[in-house]
Amino acid sequence: MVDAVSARWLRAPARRLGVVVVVYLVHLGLALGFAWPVANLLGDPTLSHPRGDLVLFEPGGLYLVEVLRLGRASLTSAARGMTFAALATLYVGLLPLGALLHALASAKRLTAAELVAAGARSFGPLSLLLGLSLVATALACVVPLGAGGLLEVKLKTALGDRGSDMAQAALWAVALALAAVIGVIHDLARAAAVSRALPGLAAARIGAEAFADHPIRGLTGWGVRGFTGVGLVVLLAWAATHVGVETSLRFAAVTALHQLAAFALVYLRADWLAEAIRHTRRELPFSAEP
Amino acid sequence: MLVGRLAQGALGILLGILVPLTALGIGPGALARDDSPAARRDDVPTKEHADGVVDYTLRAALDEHKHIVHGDGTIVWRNASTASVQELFFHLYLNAFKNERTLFLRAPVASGRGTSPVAEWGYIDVRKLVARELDGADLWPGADKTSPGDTDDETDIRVPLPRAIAPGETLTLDVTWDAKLPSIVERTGYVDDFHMVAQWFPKMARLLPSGQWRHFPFYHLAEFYADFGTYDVTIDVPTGMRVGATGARVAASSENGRDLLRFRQTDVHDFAWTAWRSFHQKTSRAEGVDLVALYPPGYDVIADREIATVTFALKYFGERYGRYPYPVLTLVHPPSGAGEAGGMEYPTLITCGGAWYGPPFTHDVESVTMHEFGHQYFYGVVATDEQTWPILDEGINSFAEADAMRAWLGTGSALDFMGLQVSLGALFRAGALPAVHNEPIAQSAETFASGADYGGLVYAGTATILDTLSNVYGHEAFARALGRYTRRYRFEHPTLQEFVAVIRENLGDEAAHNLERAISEKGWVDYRVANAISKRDDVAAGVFDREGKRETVERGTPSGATWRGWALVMRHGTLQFPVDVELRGADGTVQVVRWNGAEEWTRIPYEGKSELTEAIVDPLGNVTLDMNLLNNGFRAARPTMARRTLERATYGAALALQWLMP
Repeated sequence: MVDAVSARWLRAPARRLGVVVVVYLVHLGLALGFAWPVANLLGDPTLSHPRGDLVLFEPGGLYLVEVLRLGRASLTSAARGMTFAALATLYVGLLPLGALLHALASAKRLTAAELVAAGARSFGPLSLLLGLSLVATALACVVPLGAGGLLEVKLKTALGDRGSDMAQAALWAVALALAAVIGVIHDLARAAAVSRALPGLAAARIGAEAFADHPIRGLTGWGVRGFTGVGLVVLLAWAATHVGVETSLRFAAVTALHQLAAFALVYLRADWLAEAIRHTRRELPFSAEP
Repeated sequence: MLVGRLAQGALGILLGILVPLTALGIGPGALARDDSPAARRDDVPTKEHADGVVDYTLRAALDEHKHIVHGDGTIVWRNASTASVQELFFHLYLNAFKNERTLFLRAPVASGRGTSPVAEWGYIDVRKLVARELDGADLWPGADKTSPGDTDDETDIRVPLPRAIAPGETLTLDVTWDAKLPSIVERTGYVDDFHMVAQWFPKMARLLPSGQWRHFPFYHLAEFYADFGTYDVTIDVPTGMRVGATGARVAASSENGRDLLRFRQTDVHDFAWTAWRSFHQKTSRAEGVDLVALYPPGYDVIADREIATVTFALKYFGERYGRYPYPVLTLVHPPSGAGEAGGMEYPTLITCGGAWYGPPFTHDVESVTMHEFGHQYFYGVVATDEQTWPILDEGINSFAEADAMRAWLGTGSALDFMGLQVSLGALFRAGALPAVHNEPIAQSAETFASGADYGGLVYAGTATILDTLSNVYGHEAFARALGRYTRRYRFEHPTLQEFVAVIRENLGDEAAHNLERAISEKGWVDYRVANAISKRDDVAAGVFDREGKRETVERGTPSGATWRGWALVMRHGTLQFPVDVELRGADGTVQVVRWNGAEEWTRIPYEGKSELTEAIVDPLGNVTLDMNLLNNGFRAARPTMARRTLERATYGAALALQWLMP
């Protein structure tokens, strides 16, 4: 049972690189699924042009704006369809998440069948936790955002344009902070649900208690990885901009940069989940090293 | 409307005679040598000053609590026409906001500026209009109460005169009035103690040289038209209010808790001012012009961007369209609750817009400022009739705006973020083309079917048409044409005919014909490559007796290295622009053929050392009016996948999935 796992396995997703790669590939496959119709709608109309879809990347955006203009109805329709798919993906994504958590919490070698079984087994509790998290986030955010709406006129009168906007931004920041706290608790609960094979409500309680025990460390562990990921994406976007996509070589380089960023995000996420597992193991101190 | 158009025609004929005379140095107005580079290149003499027709010496006292301006003063008007007149016309624009039955507020305009409900009504009550030369008679009691032909509207008022006023004769009118400002709506009004005071005084309509008045009620989509003159206005506000106004401040004093600020400006045709206790101020100087930026607290960075914009614009527009003729330019950034006061032009005063946190990579702050500054030329100095020909101010100015933004900020003139660059021209094009088939551009403002058509056609449509002319007939030539137009008609009131004539004179009949069709006949065009094929030269097949020998040549026997073929290029629509057609061989060779675009289709022959693999019409995208750029190319072997797009979309989706399925 995963509770008996040696702590030294609980830290690094590097030990479970294969599973992390599989999760990355699942992401990539789903991303391709989402991207394919969009790429068809945007890119295909340019293929008769001698420069192909390179024209979409040209300075000035003449062709980019043109495909958006001419394909507006189709793109809107596709976006509507994707909204439903995105909602479904919220739940579909729980399967690889369950498998990943199980792998991170386990010391022994795991077969593909075991991982699939773990993903399926944890789908129920993780679904319940996801639902609870969405409801809790909505309830938590409605207070500061609702207050912002009610106070809009008074804030503008008292503080002027900029002061009022900054006060509203502060309320948004509060809402985002609450959402982040709920997100961290949610992750801790997920970790508990899978690593300790708990039902959803019990896992939620463990997650809340674990966060209450070490709130700063919980937020820091999540935040450092999150902001590292954002920084990496921005940095690589900047690099990709300078590389360009004019030649096959440059295109390959940009593709590699983007996929490096995508993999790094999955890896950072796995690293945080590994820490979340450690956090929820009450017999271990939060920062215990394996 | 018909009368108005006939009047425009008469003015056109008259100006057609006057303009050559003016160019020869004969006629009214002092001619001076404009020292801008464009003027030096062209050697076009320009007027140093306008022929003043109507001078206003006014005093305006603001009641900041009741939002009423108590006005009085003197209007000195000269009959500059060739005919005697028996009546005067006054625009009382503020009455557009008097009740829901006014022409303005009952207009079927669904959205945009001026469509939000008026929270507090605005109106203007004229108390007295005495003509000194007419035995001191108060003319106002005899004035019509409503606009001609509309018993609900009071924005266009006829004042009968007891006797005719001969050509050249002057009237001195003493006037008293009260202007109640509405809550901010369509350029004017108040929010709290912010006051944007525009169209606030009884304003004389323009008398055409023929002796007909160019008068019109305040239509929802229309703007203004007036004669040049000198405005000398003393603004009386409570001490502590910061004021910006048309012209230069020439005197200031305080008494009894009120500030008296006197502003004076010659060669203008309107006067607007603003007063607010909370204004912050920055000053600068560029091209010999004093710049004053008035803005809400917290907008310092935005004010810097606005000043930077006009600093560039003063030089750029000055070089192309003639020196900015005034000593001062005031930039007013209204507070956020007064957005409808933003993005508007008055002589030497423009209002800007944008949030204080507007990111620097989106150039909407610069774009609005550039546009409103451009109006100092296309409306201000070249004082066209904005109601009859909005194309001449909003249209030409939108082109000038996009052109200046491109010169200043390059291909990312609208957006420049992380390698994604979008030009203002591309956005104008996207805004224009959906409306091309709806209605003509060259029509008066109130006859447009909708605000969307008005915006899409007048602003974006004209900008795209002129951009196409500039691309096709040469940027230098087009810049010269537009420069000549602005210098020739500096301090004048040209019509659309004059503008087209300048285009014809500089770019030729074909360009002028395309322009006329595009603006008056809903002209459109779509170039397309329908097909492109080639095959290697075959030796004629059959049995041949050559040099005493019988030789059989099989079908398909290649003769060598020459490939022959053609590209079938089509032109749909009513516009006919010459375009390049690029033919590309498999070996990378490129042949460029010029097609005059006169026929509906042409077959461009190809001969090369390799197979013809690709063809594209208008490869540089010069014809931005082209209704569909995506059918301009043809590839014999079309790729099956847009790999770059797929890669970028996949990456975007992968990033989104990090949130969706952690």
